[in-house]
Parts: sequence; structure tokens; C-alpha cells
Amino acid sequence: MDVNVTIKENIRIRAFYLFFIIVSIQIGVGLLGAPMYIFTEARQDSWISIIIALVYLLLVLFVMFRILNQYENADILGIQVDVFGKWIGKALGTLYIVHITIALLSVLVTYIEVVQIFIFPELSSLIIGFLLLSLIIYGVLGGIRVVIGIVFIIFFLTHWLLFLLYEPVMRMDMTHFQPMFHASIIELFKGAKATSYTFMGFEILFFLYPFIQNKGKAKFPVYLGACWSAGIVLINTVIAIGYFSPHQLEHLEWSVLSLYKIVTFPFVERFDYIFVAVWMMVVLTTMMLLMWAITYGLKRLYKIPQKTTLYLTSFILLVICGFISYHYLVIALTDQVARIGFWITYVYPFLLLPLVLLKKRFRKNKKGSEGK
Amino acid sequence: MKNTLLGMLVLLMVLLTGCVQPKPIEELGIINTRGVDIMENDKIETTLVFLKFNSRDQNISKTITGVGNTIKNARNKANFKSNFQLTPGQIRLEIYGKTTAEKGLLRYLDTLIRDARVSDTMYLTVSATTANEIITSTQNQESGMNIGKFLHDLIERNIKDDTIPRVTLQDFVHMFYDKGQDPYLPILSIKDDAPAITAMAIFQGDKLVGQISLDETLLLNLYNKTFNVAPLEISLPQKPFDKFQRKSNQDGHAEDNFYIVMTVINGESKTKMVDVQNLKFQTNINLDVSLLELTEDINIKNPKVIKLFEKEIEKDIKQQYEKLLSKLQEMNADPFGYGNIYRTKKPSGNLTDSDWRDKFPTIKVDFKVNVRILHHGTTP
Amino acid sequence: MRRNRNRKTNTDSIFPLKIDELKKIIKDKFEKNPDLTFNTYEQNNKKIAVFFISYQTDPDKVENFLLEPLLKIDKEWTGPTIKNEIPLSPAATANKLEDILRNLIIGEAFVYVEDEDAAISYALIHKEKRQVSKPENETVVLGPQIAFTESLITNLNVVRWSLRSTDLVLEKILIGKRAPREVRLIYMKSIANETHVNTMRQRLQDLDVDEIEDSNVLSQYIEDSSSTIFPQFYTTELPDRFCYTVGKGRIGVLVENSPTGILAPSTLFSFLESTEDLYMRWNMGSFLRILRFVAMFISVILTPLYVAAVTYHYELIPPRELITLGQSRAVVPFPPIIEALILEFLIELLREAGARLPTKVGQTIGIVGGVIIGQAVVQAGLTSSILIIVIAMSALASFTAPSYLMGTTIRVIRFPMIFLAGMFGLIGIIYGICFLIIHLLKIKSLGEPYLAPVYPFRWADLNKALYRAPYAYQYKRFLSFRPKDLLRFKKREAIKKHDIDE
Repeated sequence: MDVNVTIKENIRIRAFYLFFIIVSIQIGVGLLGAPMYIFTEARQDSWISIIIALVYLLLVLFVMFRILNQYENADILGIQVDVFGKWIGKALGTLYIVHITIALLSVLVTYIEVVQIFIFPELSSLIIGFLLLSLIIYGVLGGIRVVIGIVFIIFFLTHWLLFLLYEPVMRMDMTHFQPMFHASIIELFKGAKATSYTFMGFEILFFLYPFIQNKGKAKFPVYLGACWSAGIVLINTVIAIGYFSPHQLEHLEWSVLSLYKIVTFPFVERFDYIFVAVWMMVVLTTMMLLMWAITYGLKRLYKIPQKTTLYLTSFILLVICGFISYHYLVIALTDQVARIGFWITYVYPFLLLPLVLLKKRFRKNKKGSEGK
Repeated sequence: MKNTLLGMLVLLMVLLTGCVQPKPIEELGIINTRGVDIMENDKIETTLVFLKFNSRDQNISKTITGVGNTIKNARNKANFKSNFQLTPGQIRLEIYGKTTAEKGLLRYLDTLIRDARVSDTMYLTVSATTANEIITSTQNQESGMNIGKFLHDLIERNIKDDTIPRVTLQDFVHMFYDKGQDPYLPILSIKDDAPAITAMAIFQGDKLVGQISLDETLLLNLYNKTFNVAPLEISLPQKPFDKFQRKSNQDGHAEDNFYIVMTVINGESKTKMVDVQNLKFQTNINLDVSLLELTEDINIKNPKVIKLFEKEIEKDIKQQYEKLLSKLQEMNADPFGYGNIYRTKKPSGNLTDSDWRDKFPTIKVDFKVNVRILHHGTTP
Repeated sequence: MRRNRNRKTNTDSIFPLKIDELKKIIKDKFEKNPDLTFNTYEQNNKKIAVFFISYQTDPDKVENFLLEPLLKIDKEWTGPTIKNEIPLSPAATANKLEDILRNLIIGEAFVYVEDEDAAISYALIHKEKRQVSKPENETVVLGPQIAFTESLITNLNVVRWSLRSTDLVLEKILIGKRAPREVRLIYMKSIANETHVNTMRQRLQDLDVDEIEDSNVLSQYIEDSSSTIFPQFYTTELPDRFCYTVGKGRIGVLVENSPTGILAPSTLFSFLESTEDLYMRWNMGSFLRILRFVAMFISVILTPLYVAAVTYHYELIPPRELITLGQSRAVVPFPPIIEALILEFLIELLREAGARLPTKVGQTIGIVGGVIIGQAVVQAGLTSSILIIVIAMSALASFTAPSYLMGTTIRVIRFPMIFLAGMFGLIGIIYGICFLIIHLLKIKSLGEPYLAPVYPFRWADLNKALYRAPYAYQYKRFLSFRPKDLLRFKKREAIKKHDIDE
């Protein structure tokens, strides 16, 4: 397979869409539970943890850009093949795609659980799974441009939910944040690590980069997107800490959802129901992007037609989500994804960069000596 | 073509088998108010007021009781007596009997928090006797009256008028779990054959330990939140005002005190801890008021009189606060939340329940009340 | 011999021949058709045949300008002399049978002098047509009160008067193998995107059909996707709308005998945009346009929400409404979904009946349906009174769409949404909305995205789709469709901000 890919002009995308892609893939089911996980580690200083996480995130993104910019128009799969050779490269690529598939599964299963807890306890997982996957299939069949279109439109259709938080904001108790700067450095870093599942997903950049039309402008939207989603997590965490008492928050699985429980309007009594339903859109964008990455990646690696992968993966996911119905399984899956994902998305790029640079220098030398 | 057909078939099958069990509202008994009483044999009796929709019957609310080991169990028992499926999603008010509250509310809160269907905005109250009595008090009177709605509106109106603090489930849980603060709930009792709010119940943790009057509740409310428009009645001694009396009282000074009524236009409080070691707090209370009513005819055109009024009112409120605090210290319950402030000053940032229980009776608070009379109506 | 060779080189020509032969050939083609007038005259020993279809030609003109000079002037007629002497224009010659037959049908009168090489024809067409009248389907309060008619000539005339520019191209394309019909491809050659023009021309020319009935039919033949429920080309009967759109660089198609023009490419937003928005001041125009978006949303979402809330999510309903809703539901024997479907069906019946009946009766139907049946249905306990309000509101909202096609689409979409809401509650509704979004993203109109300028996103175009900016700020054409010439006018001085007292 070729390291560099040539993308047809009509399926290229403008760089500013990267902002929406990064935000959509990061904000998903992870956000719903994030405050609890961060708070358990870093207590009232959780907001510092999020800022630390953001700084690290930006660093990773910077490294990712460095790696990608060493090549003309390559994605992670091509780069791995270039650096590690055909066999190891392809194996690593496969690992990457397996990671994405499991991440997709965890999102699917978590959302199904949320629906069952908050709206329909008696609705079987298979049916919600079927509904979600049918939408994913329909969307991904349209190709990357349609997927990004959905991401773009749904971004605007769901962000109004943030404004509803004014009600919990009014009930915040500022004493919950005091004494400030109390957590130790270790606790802060632990808190930052707790965000890893929430912030995961930006590795999609490794796949999407060749599709960008104006690569020179790609950096800013990506960084901005990371800041934006960190901002959303920050807002929600801060409000959750102020709104719930510490003891309560420690044991609250879907704290962000619970924030919406007190939002009422003259025409809608309970907003958490609407929130869960609308959140389906948010989750959908995450899953579509991941699903697209799976189909595209397998096509790159093994030349399997995207349609085949799409149908097959959906079917397998549907079967699996029919089996995972215990809460502890869902939690275990999420934890597993977070643990493995941490190494793949947050650490791996740092290992890859020196190798890529070495390879480049080696190649240059070779060329130089040949030129002589 | 074959594929599409197959797809359609699968879709149809899933959709046909996949329907959720519908719960159309006319088949539900939508619980509106729930009363919880603990019985002598430690079983729970729930009194449920629910809405049922029937074309013939104008009276849509109905009361039913059930006994069981848990609240859910009691509800299921109650459901045997009704042809409607009782559902908790619209509970607006929960009433606990006095003995129930004294034994602790924690076990009932759990079911409310755990069930995602239950609203966080429902109000919690305590009955002066039993919840059942409050709910069934009006049953013999007007047949069309919806007791659940009546009680809910009663509490809601009082909260909106700032006469009692907000007492939603979320507030209670919040105060309960905050180690440095104790929750409070309004007490309902029957006055003239109708339920009314008569006092405020003070909890220590989840257990009811005492009550304070509604006047004191206003002070508590003033401490905890920013006021907008709330009436405030205060009695002042007659003496300092004697010389400003417009026409001398013919009958001589029969009473030593007179009353003034004012509206608090803007009231806020601020508390800081001045001495962590000796547990000394300072609470500043600022009130912008507008005079509404005087029981004595006093000329208040004079700025001096205004100043005098302000001073006297300040003195009186300060006294009231000090009285309230000592009362609460006797109960060893801290609805003000001084413990929260103390916690933030502690280097560890942690406060255990027992720690504060030991310390709260010994705290000293310096109340600084600052009153400004902004308007005094159209008559000078 | 020479004649034979001549005939061979020009195989299709049927001339020269004797008048009798010609008469036989023509009459054979018009078997059992009494309308063909075939007159033979003899003038200076030359036989002259004049033939035409009587009602397709203007009888006055035939008599006064053709027959009279032909028979009065004493001359030896030959082809060229006829052309020169007869005071009619334009004269065409024809020597092929198909040409003669085709032109005969559309009302040309033929003159043939015996043994000549060609017949001469005059277009003395007589075509019955309606006078231009007020628009019936797309009524507007402001702006020109004129609609296209069935006559292509009239329509072209109206269009030309509106767009008096040599830039305006009116390409003629004949469509239909058996009964060809004239179709005009209309665009501004210095503005319209070349690709659009070529695509449209290609689609029209490649059309292999026996005939097209109407421009609405044609638009279905040439649209991008026929499986979708959304119309992809705007069909309008308003010449001002047609000209405005063409003038901004899009493409128009007019079909003979059809009072509607096709506009392409169209976006979803153009279906919700009325010409009235342009005639209003910009703020009112924007308000109305946004109102229509809201109306469409309400129309799709309101009934399903009712069904979902009443079937599954009683928690959503505020306490006060709960009692009213519950009491009105209590009398109804059906589940909410059936109740909603019955009433939606009733409304659709009323609408359809109103549209089919003559205008006067149609109005009565509205009153009968709205007031009497509505009242009776509630009293009989078939539906709840709240649902009547809900359904009436969503029906009303769907009628605000300026395009009748889009209004119908919106109303049809409601049915699957009600089903979804009835089966999965809120989750079903959101599922439906997501499906719609994905579907809309996939639709293309003449190869252009249907949701432009929202996606692919073009900031500069939003003021033409979502709201309306003051004209001074609308100095650009629709960027998403890449017109050849983007700027309408120079960014005027008017936009410049002045300081106080300057």
C-alpha cells in the first residue's frame, strides 16, 4: 500500500470543519460521567486537572501535526507502514482500528444504558442499538462529506443545551470550591488522567488529515476545537461541583444528566428526558466518525470495500450490544477503553515522532549520497 | 432490489416486535403527593394522592393508602386497590409524618434519588402529626378540591414570597450531604380544618430535632439567600419615639411597643470567619427596606427619625438573630451553614459530622445588621 | 436520367411532383381526418396547391394575405416569385415530407406550384391561449400579479421584458420522440455557472421519452434522485420569481403548454423563500422567512411530540396541562397514535377535497370540516380537544410553505414521524430528525448540495438563505453555486459608516 494517499478533489474538506469534528468526537457519552471521575481524584480542584489535561492534549496534537507534516499527504496507517515496514506497520494499523472499534462499542453501549436508565427501562438494547446503527449506516454510506455535514449541523442543533445550565448555575454553592489549591500534584494528574476517556477521539485527525484541502490552516481549528471541548467539560464539571455536595457527586454516575433534572419550563416539566433524547444526536456524530474511520482504515489496509466493513461491523456491534446488559460490564468496557486508549492516543504519538524524524533523516542521507 | 426487500423485512420485524410498552396517561394514576408515615411495627404506610382521568367523574384526584416494608412495596400494595397504574414521575410533594422524620429520612431519600423518573424539583415537607392526617384533612369538605395541588401551591407561593426558604428535594439532599449544614423543611399542620404552614422543622442530619417559628424562618431565609420582596414585621419599643409622635396619645401610653411592617426590597447577607481558632464568625446583613405600615402615628419626615428607626430595627433584628442562634445551638443543628465556612478555613478542607457537632454549640457569631429605609410610602 | 440522379442525391425530397400526387400523399397521412384543407387553383395554366389545417391557422390571414394576392395578381407563379410577391413573412421552403407534416400540424400554410422543387410555407399560426392572469397557487400580496400561461410565446415574452439583456440565452431543445415539445433552457450567459448549464442541457438532450406532459413531469425526469420525497427543482408560476432567480445566475426551464417554469439548482431554503421577502423591507422579510422555518419545524414535530408525551412521557407534561390533557384523553377509546393518525387523515381528506372541488364548494368544505366535523369528533369522543388544536396548528404551519410541493412534503413526513413517536417516544422523534438531516445532506439538486449554504458552509451566502440582509449588503451572488460573475455591484459607499455630524 502507498504511504501517501491521493484524495479526489470532490471529497476534500475545508480545514475549518476540523473544529467541529474534534468537538463532536470528544463530546459524547464521556461528558455525562466526566465530572464524577475527575472529582473523585482531584476534588474541588478538578478544574485545574482539566486545564492540565487540555495543555497535554494540545501537546499531543502538536506532536501529531509534526508527524503528519513530515509526509506529503499521509495518514497514520501509511506512516506506520513507512516507519515499521509492511508487516509490523499493518499489524499496528489493525490494532489501531480494533481500538477504534472497541471505543465505538463502548459509546454505543453506554448510550443504550443511559436510555434504559432514564427513559425506557424495558426497551431492549438490541432495538436501541438497531436504531442507532441504522442511522450510522445510512450516514456513513454517504461518505466522508455527508458524515462531516452531520457533524457540522448537529453541532449547532445541540449546543443550545448548554444555555439551560443557567438553572443549576443559580443554585451553585461556592463554598464547595474552597479551600482552593488543596489537591496535591499527584491528585491533579490523576484527575487529568480521568479525563482521558472523555477527551479521546481526536486521533481521528490521523485518518482525516489527507482529506484536508488547505492544510496550512488546519492547526488553528484543531487547537480551538480541543479548547472548546475542554471548555465544555470544564463548565459542566465546575457546575456539577458547585451544584452537588461532594459526597453526592462522588456517587453520581451521570452527573451532567442530573444537572438537567431541575431545569423546567412552563411547557416542558422535565428537561432531562429531552436532554437524553437530544444527546442521541451528539453520540451519533461521535459514532459516525469512528465508524467511518473503521471502514476507511480497513480499506486502506486490506482493500476491503467500505460497504462490506460497514455492514459487517454494524452487525457484529449489534450482536455484542445485545449481550452486554449488565451495568458492571459497561463500566468495565469503558475502563478498558480508557486504559488502552490512554497509551494509544496520549503516549504513542510521542514514541512515533522520533522514529518518523529518524526515518526522514535516513532517507535524506540516502538521497544525498545517491546524488553524489 | 433483493437486498432492499430483505432490509425492509428486517426493519418491519424489529419495529413490530420492538415496541415499548406504552403508558398512555389515561391509564395511569399519576401520583401527585405522597405521604410517608412509619407505623408501630416499623412498616411504612404511604398515603398517595393521585390524578386519575375519567370522563364521567369531575373529581380527578383520589387518595389511597398502602402498607409495606419499603416505599416501593407500599406503593405496589396500594396499587392493588386501584384500577390505575400508579406512577411516581409527577410527584410534586412528599410529606413525612413527625415520627418518621424524627427517626431519620435517609432511607426514603434513597428511593427518590435512585429513581431517575422522580423529579428533583419536588417539595419535601413534614407534618406536625402524620402525613395521612394532612392529606385526608379536607376529604370531608369540598369534594372537588385537589389536596395535592393545594398543598403544592401553598408551599410554592410561600417560597416565591420569600417567606420560607426553598425546600425542593435537591435542596434537602444538598444540605444533608454538605457536612457543614443541616437541612430544614416546613411543617404542615391543620388549622381551622385546613392544612397550613405553621413552622419550620430543623433537622440534624436526616433526623428532625426541633422547630422554629415562621418569623424565625424569615431570618433564616434572609441569611441564606438574597431577598427581593418580602414583608417583615417588627415590634419596636415606644419610648425613643415619644418626642416624634405627632399627636399625643390621649389614653396615655397603654402599650410599650408598637409594630411596623416593611417590605425588604433588597436584602443580603455575608458571613466571614474572623477567628478560626475560637470559632468566631461575623455576619453582615444588609437590608434595604420600605416602610409600609406603622401602628403609631409618628412623623418620619425628619431624617433623624429615619436614622432612629434604622437603629432600632437593627437592634431588634440583631437580637432576634442571636436568639435564633442560641436556640439552634441548643438543638445542635446548623441550618445556617456556618460549618461550610469553617470547613473552607480548615487546612485539610475536610469536616466530619461529629467534629462539627462538637463545635457548633460553641461558635460565636457577631451579627451586624445594617438597615436602610429607602421609602416610606406617600404619607410622611 | 439526370432527374433520377438528382433524386438519388436528395433522397428525402418528394418534389417535384404533380399536384394530384401531392394531394394523395398528404391525404394519406391525414386519413379519416377531415380538417386538412387542400385547395387547388389554376392560374396561367399552372396548378397551385394551397393546403393547411383549418383551425391551426388564422383564417383571416390565409384569406387576406395569402389567397387574395395569390389569385388576384396575374402572374406566372414560381417558387421565387411567390416568395417575393406575397406580402407575408417569413416564407420558408420545405421539400421533405416530415418537415411538411410537422409544420402543417403546428399551423403553417403551404403553397406548392406544380413541378416546383419545394413547397413554400407561411407561419400563419393560430394558437388558442389564455390571457395572462393572476397567480392562483403562489399568491403574493406585494409584487407583480401575473402568472405564466400555457403559451410558451407569451411566457418568453414576459421573461424577455423582465430581463432585457443580450446576456439572456433561451436555448431551444425539442423533447419527446413521438410528440415532440419545445423546451427552452434559459440562463444568463455571463453569470450562470457553465457546469450547471451543461449538466442541464445534457439531461434535457439525453432524455429518451415519447412525450412529456408538463414541466412538473419534466422536472421529475431530470431530477437527481427520484427516490426522495423532497422536490429538487423549484417549479414556479411567477415570472418575477423566475426572472429574479435566472438573473442571479441559476437556470430556468420553460416548457411549451405548461404554466410553470423549472428553476435549478434549488436548495431546501429556496423552497421556503417567497418573492415577497424581497419586496418587503429586509427586517420584515427576514422575520417572515424565519417564521416559515419555525412553522416547518412545528409542523413536523408538534403532533409527534403530543403522541410521544401522551403515550410514554407523562413526566414531561407540566402539572397544569397534565390535568387538561388527561381529562380530554380520558374519553378517547383509541391509543394516542391511532387518535393522531385519524385526525391527521381527516385533515388531509379535507385539504384534498377542498382542492378538488370547485372554489365555491371548496370554501364550504373548509367550514364544514373545520367547524362542524371538528366539533362533532370531539363530542363523539373520537379525539381529544387538545389534539385538535395540535393538528390544526401543524396543518396551518405546513400551509405557510410558499411552494405547494414543499408543503405537501412536510405534511407527508409527519406520518412516519407520528409512527416513530408512537413506537419509541422521544427517541423515535430524534431518530426521525437525524434521519431527515442525513437524508437532506445526501440530496443533490443539479449536482449541488441541497443544504447549501448551511453545508457546505458559506458564511457569505447565509443572508440569502436563512435571512435577508439589506440590499446594500447583498452585493454578492450566491457563492455556493459558483456563478461566473460573483459581484452584483461594487460594495457601495452606503455601507460606509459615517461619524456623527459628518
